[in-house]
Amino acid sequence: MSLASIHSFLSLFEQSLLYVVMISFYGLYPILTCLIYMITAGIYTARRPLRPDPLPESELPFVSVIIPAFCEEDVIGSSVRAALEINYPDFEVIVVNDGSSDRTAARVRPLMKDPRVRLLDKQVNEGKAMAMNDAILCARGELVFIMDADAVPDSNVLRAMVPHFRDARVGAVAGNPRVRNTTNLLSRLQAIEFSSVVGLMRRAQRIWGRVMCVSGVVGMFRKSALIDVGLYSPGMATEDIDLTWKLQAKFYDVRYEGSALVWMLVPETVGVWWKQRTRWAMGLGQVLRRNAYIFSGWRWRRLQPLYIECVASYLWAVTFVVITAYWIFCYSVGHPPRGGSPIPNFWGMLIYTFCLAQLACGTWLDSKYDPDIVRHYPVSIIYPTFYWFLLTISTCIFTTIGLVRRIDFLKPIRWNIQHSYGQDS
Amino acid sequence: MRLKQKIVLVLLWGLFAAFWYRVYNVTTRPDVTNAATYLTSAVSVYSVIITAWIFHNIAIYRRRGPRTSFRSLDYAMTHDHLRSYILTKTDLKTTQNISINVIEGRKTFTEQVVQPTEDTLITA
Repeated sequence: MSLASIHSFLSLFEQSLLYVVMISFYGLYPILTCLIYMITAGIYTARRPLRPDPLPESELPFVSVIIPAFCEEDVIGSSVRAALEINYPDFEVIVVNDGSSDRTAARVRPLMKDPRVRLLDKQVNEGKAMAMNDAILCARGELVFIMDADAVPDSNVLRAMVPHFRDARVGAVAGNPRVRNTTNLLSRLQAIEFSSVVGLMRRAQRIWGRVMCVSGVVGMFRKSALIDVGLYSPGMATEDIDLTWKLQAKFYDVRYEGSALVWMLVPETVGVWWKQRTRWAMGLGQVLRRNAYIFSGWRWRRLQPLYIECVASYLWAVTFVVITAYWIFCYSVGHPPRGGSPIPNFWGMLIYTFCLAQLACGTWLDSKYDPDIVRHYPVSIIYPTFYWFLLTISTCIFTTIGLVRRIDFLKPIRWNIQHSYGQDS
Repeated sequence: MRLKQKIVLVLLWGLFAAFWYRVYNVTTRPDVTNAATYLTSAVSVYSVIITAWIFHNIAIYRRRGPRTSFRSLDYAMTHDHLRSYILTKTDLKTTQNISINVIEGRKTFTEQVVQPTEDTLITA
């Protein structure tokens, strides 16, 4: 095939409806979603006076704090001690050691002098979902607060979440995970991301009525609701997203509480971060595959916008990769593509600017709870390029795998422990 | 933050401003008008949809009223999610230290009595 015929084929393709739709979606979708999230999170913030009143001391129910752990000997002691410092009258702390090969259990035992600390020592490693299911079986409280073993909860975390459960419809409350190891560019970017993408999205989703995920790092659940939906599914790569959808599919309300803070460690190397994100991307694909049934009935209509939004963001990631690959090919054969430019054009700059505006908006909203977050905003200039690009590639590949691969519910997903997590900043 | 990182960030923000300056010089009025029309229409349409959706949600609540009773469910599972039969040899709610093992397809919960060994003497 001659170069001239390749050029004419490419020109012809660029006139096609498919190319026009793809390039329009590629340019318009990110701006539209940025606007939607900012506006809707603004509505949520304006409605905040409607948050539940604190409960009187005598009405605070017993809470079981569950900390699943696998090979966490370096951090489990400080997490349990921090959990014991929670300002709440009546609670227990259950550590589930999921067959760790290190001395996780040995680190917990000296802390059991405090009768509130309990240890479930699993001799066989069955994965995080199974560890949490076993702990729920042993929990005394009707409310269970689940946090990661490397997280440090704020002392008021339970008081912030418990009042939501006065409403019988509430099955879960998502907390606000904050990054405590802001030691390098990657971890600072994640700190900004948790405020501006995760936090902003949850606020917006609360206005829509359904929440994407009660993250495994910090969430409180009504035990009877967990039992009602069959607890965590061990075959899911992201058992927390799956559980959130199962609760909402059974018409439990899931809320977001921005003042329920937990300080967590995030990956500090690109390799560990990539592994984590590929798992999340695959989990999203599995959740979409598992929950496609919600379109079979009108009664699940409140979940449908969330599903459509997830599918749209996945399709955008695919479009991004396809269009970028196409443009690279065009330039390699000396054919400047329609709508493409190696130097950002007007729409490119608009996308970039709206993304930065969304990051600024989320940072500002969370600065109320984490004032230090504003200091990290300058790194957000990196987000729309390198970070976004890697995220898009991981979504494109691994969400597709999650969508097409059959889920084996009898094969539990094993722990994805990030041993190159950093230390506190 | 290291000085090198600070310099890189300043350069990137400078580049961002420079790109906008370039775009400002090459962008025509119709480009801006088209973008503004699109964004205004999108925001308007979205505002209508989200308002309708909020009222729809409120209508469901008004029609059904608040859920007043809690569902009471007992966790009386005989098997776990991996189909292991559950065998409890201790009070799961009160025992402080429980060992969980899977023996011949049975998930067994027993009280764990730890002998003082080097491991248990580790100070947390």
